[in-house]
Amino acid sequence: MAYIEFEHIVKEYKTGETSIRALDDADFQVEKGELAVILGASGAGKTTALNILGGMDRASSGRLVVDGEDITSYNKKQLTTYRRSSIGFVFQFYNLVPNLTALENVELASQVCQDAFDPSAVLDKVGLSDRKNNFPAQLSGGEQQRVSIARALAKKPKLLLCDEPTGALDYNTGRQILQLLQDTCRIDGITVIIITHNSAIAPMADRLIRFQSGKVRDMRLNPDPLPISQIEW
Amino acid sequence: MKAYGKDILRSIAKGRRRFFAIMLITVLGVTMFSGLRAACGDLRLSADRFYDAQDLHDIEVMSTLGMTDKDISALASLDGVKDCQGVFELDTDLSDGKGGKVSIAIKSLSRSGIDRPYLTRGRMPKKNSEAVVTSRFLSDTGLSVGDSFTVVEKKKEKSSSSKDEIDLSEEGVKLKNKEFLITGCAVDICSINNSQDSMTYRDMNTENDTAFVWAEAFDSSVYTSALMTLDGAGELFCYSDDYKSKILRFEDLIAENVMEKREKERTQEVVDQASDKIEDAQKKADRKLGKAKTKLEDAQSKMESELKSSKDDLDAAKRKLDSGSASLTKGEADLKKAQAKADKKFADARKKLKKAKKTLDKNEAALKEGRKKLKEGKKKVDASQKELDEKKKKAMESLGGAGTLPDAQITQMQKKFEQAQGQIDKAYAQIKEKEKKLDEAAKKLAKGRRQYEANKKKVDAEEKKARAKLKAAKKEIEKNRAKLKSARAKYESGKKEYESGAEKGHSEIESAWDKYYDKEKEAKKKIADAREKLKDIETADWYIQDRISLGGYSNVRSDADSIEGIAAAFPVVFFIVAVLMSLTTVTRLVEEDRSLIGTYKALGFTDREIRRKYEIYALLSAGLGCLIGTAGAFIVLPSIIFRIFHIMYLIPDYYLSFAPLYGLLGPCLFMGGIFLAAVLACRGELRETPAVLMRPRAPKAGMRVLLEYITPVWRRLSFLNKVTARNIFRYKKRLFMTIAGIAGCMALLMFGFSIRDSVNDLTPRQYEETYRYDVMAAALPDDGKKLFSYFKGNRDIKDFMKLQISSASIKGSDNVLSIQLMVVPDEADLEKYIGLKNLKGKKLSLADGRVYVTRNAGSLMNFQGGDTIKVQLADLKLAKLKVTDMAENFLGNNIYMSRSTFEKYFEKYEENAVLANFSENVKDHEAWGKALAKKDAVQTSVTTAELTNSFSKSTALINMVVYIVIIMSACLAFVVLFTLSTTNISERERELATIKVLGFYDREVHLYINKETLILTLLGIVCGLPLGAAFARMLAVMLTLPDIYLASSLHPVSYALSAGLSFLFALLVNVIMDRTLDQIDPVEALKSVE
Repeated sequence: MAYIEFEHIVKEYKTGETSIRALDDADFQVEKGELAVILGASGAGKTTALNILGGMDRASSGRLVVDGEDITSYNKKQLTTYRRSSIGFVFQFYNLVPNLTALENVELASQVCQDAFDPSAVLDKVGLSDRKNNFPAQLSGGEQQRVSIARALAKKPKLLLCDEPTGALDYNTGRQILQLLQDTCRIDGITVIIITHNSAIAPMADRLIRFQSGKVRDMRLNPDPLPISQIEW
Repeated sequence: MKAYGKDILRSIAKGRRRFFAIMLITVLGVTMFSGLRAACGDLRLSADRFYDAQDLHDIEVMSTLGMTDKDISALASLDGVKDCQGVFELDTDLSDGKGGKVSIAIKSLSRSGIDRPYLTRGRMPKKNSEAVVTSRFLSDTGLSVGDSFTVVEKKKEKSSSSKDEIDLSEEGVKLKNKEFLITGCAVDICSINNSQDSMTYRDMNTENDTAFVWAEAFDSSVYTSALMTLDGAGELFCYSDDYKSKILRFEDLIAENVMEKREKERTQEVVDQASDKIEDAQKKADRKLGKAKTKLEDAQSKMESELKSSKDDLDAAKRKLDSGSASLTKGEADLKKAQAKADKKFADARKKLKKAKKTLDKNEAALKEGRKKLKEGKKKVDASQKELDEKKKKAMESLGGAGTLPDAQITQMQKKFEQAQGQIDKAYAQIKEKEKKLDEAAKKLAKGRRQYEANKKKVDAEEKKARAKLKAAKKEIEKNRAKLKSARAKYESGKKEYESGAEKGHSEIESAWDKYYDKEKEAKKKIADAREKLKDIETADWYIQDRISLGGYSNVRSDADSIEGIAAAFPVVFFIVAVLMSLTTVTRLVEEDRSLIGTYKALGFTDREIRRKYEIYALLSAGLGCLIGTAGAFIVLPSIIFRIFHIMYLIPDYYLSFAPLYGLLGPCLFMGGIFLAAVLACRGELRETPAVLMRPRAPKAGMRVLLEYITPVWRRLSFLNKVTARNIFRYKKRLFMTIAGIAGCMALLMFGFSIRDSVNDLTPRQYEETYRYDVMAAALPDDGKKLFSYFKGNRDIKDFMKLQISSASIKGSDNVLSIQLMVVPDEADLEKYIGLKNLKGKKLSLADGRVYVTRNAGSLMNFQGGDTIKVQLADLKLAKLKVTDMAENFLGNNIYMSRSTFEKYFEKYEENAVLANFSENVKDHEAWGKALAKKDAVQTSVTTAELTNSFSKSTALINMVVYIVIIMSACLAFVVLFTLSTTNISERERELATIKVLGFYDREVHLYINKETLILTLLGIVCGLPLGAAFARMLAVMLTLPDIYLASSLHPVSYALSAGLSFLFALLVNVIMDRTLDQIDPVEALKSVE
């Protein structure tokens, strides 16, 4: 049994007579401590899969097992607990609370979690020591994304899910973020799943999952993942 | 503080406007909820404190035979009595120095301080000749502090036959001195209604102007009533049930322990006094009668002797007359004889003369004839002569001419001629002789005539003389006759005088004796009657009353209840609006936070935790609003309303109080409601999965509007108008809430206006349709006749009717209502004066013992047609009347019945009042009425013109209510429109930003939104019209004031005004929203998440 078992998941949206399948019997596995990269064009179903993986959406049918738990059978409360304690999510558009400073945004995460990292320390870790008391509006894109990551990490999650984390960032900042994610995976041993449509970073992954039209077109393992520093695109 | 908490606070700080909107509506709602009720509670509380401060009595005991010291001590000896005092009260008049009278009441002050007046100016009286008076007293008499007044004591009311009876009733209350100095002005604690400047359409004989003097100024041993205060009653709130039951229990105690015993004893006292009086009366009568008898006898004998001497004189005169008459008769007879003789003599003489004349005349005629004949003859002869001469001549001529003729012929001719001539001469001679004869005859005749003339003259002269003598004689006789006549006349008159004098004297004496006998009989009867009456002497009946009978006390309760009645409706409206508004606001807030909520959810925050933000938002804004609202309700609004109370009552100070029940209920309700609204608003969003939340909400699907299917109309609309049409129906929540909000505002506005219209319509309804008379006047007791004399035959009066008007009260279990009793003579036609109709408009007749009561009394005292009510008159007589039907009336309260009905229940009917209509002569009704009021015998005189004019002053309470309603409605409409507009705009920010980018001018953007708002407002107005009309119809039910029945009416103007005002608010809100629209920055608004 893999750490994450994504079995025959279907996500269907019904509008009147037509139904759209965002995920059409998608199927993949991820092992613990892996850095998995999900590739695919827009509309392939990547975000939907990540959302279901992160307990933010429900599958129409199929089974998801994470660390031996059947997530698809969870009720609302259980899902909330799952999100609270097991998942760290990094969004493409950061989704920080505009009214709170960087530090406070990370504190939010530690509020919901009993055993959290010290927010300040986490911010230090992501390299934002002198940006702790700034509001998101006063931070650059990269800084905001790092706050977002810090927030996700502070919870000591089992899974770190990142939906196009560098989509809104420039080349160099993006590399920094990716490096951070890679380090988190390698050093802290957190299972990290990254969605991207940039195939160039495929070499960093331990596992590569390709999505197309809601299905997993391809899943292969990469025995020798490269560090970001060595990847150019 | 935790980060999440910080987020909450900062969101509030950012969304200040909405926060304040919710706070504001909460303030309004809570204020309305508790404010009016608080003001009423304060009124009752302040009244209670005032009563306690002035030691107002708890119980008043009156008796038909007055209260004596024994009664007072019997009452005082009861357990639980704090104080018991006897007081005097005297109704009397004051001369106002202009020949008129003002009726006043003089009450005694008690040394123990019970019912102590509240001094507002000057000082309390120290001497018995000083008094302190009410302000109404000063205004009605025109006096001021420092002036003196003199009392004119009223005649004690007597029954119609009392002249012939011995008055067995008690001596009334009297004053020792009649002149008083006014040392100060005070409030009478028993009558705290401020009747100054407000026309009383409560009954006519209302609380008099009152003056207070020390008890020692009264000269009486019998008190008018006994006042009592009870232990522990002062500590109780006098409008509470505890107080009421305490008083009732004590009243029962009095009734059981003291009343009967004292009633019997007092009655016996009075009876004893009465029989003493009878004894005295008897003695007095005997003495008087004895004196009268002797006087009468003396008079009689004197008269007799006088008469006798007169008669003697008369007889002498008569004899004289008779003799005179006899001689006169004789003289007349003599005269007659002489006259006859003379007549005969002269008749003969005249006859003779006549004969002579006749002869003379005959002769003269013959003479004339003779002369005539002679003349004729002469003429004839002359003619012959002439002829002859002619012939001669001719012959001559022919002789002379023709030649010659034979002489024979000539001589023949000459002979002929001579013969002829000779004949002629003879004829002439005959004629001459005749002539001579005739001349002689003529001479004789002349002589005869002369003689005749002489005789005649003689006879004439004699006759004249004789006749003159006779005439003289006759004249003398006439003179004597006249003398005799006058003498006789004198005698006759003398005789008549004597006779009449005798008659008179006799009859006088006779009648004097009759009178004496009558008086004797009378006196006997009086005493017998009095003795009889002793048996029916009025027994002492005690009447125990408490504060309910006091005007001010009851009015405070009923006014407070009425205002609370109005207060019931508004809070409901405000509550509903408050909840809806918060629902809208929080919903909007939640929607804007959509992605944020998604993030929180993604982070693993539970629904409860996320909801907390909005719950706290709602609770905080509502909480603050409730705090401020509570302050408004218990401090601000009451303070404003106290101004009105100052006009209505004479209570010096008003206290603010806090009523925990309403004070907490209001805030709890509002906070609870708004809290629930917040929870509801969140529910929808929180149900979604985080993934959905983080995607922006799909814009509402566009859809076709019904209007589109009406192609001819749709085709003609401009593009933007089509957009407007679609948008109106797109946001259904906004559609319904705007319409509902505006309709509610309209309804409230129309309600407020209908109050004003109903009040304005009161005067024509009351004073033209119901009270058709022009003036109503009441007389002072026993002065009815004098009052009527002012109306009879007065050119200013078209017609008038006499009736009885008395003040009475309807006694219920809980309260007492003072009412005016109108008793109409049986055959009188009330139509011209009062339009008596029942509630359905049918005319009512007073025949057959029917009793009608005005409708307001019925709703206040809880009875209707068919029920029986207890009615008590001012003299304490009580009767149970069956109410036949309720009569329509708007101001004041009356009971109507006919005379026979009254006499059936109450006995003594006495006409003491007049209803009258003016003729066209009278232009200034008010002045006429006022002038009448100053005249003697008039107690009150009120014209409907006066009442109509001064009505507006007493509607302060109503006006206040109207203004509050209108202001509240304005605030309501404003808040509703404002919130909805704000929400709507923030919802459609992208859309608005897009059209701005497309190139719409600011004005066009305004119009884009405002058109929708205005159309929705119009729809709301249309819906609000019937709703408001329904509200207005409920007016009368809600607003029950004791003296006024507000028949609902709503003028077309008010419909227009309400609609206009609502529309105006909409326009105002649009103007404010325009600024918000201008502030939308397309760039910011269009920034996309994805």
